[in-house]
Amino acid sequence: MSEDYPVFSEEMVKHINEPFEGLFGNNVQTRVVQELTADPYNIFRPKDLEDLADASTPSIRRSLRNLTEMGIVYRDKNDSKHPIFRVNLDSKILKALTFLSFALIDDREGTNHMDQAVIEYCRKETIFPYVQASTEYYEIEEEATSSQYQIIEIEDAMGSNNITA
Amino acid sequence: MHNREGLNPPDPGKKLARLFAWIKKRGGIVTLDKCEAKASQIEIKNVKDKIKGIENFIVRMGRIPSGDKEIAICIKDKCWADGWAKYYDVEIPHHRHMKKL
Repeated sequence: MSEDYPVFSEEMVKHINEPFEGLFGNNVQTRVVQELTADPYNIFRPKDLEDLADASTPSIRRSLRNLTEMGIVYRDKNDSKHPIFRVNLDSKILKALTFLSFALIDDREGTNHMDQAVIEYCRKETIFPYVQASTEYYEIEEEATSSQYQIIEIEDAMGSNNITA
Repeated sequence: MHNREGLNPPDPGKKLARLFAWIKKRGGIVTLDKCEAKASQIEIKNVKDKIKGIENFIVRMGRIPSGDKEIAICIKDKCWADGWAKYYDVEIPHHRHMKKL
């Protein structure tokens, strides 16, 4: 007996199984890149990618070769008989594509997942000074010719406060 | 790992959080066959039953309107999925995840 499920709208499924909602077309390499982006901590075997990216062995291997040359993945040389690929977690391309995948949802649904992910990324990587402001310390008078900024604490990557203005 | 404070139940566990993060990065909706292929890759057994267990406002299963009316899985509450993805640190790639080969 077939299970009874509601039917999703055409709009909801418009880009189902299309990499990056069809932004870059729907070729094998883009489908592989989407798989790498969607689960970057995974180990990738060509066979798994064949199933997930709906592609033949030669085209998956070709894509992995291209992506290796671009520094997006690298081959784990521990097992020469069964090739395993890992994502280069230092690749900014993959990080940017992660943000892109959230931006696509945001533009469609009016949400702010990308913004949240960017904040989370900056917090984790401690790339930029971490600026904290709250209404207690921060004030803007919109109609005035000049704005007042009272106290902003800037914390550097080592966690120490440098400026209190 | 993040603080659990402020996270909405249920806790999906690390593997399901990773699966939902994967679905979200694929636009928030995937066909069941792809979801099962991914689940088997990350060693989640009986993924359909597990999703049914938390299905409601968080995750929905439904059919694609055209073609052979395949079953698809859609994350409705992406903030819930986000929270747990962050908690289990499976959302954004960063080098702290690198393991010695």
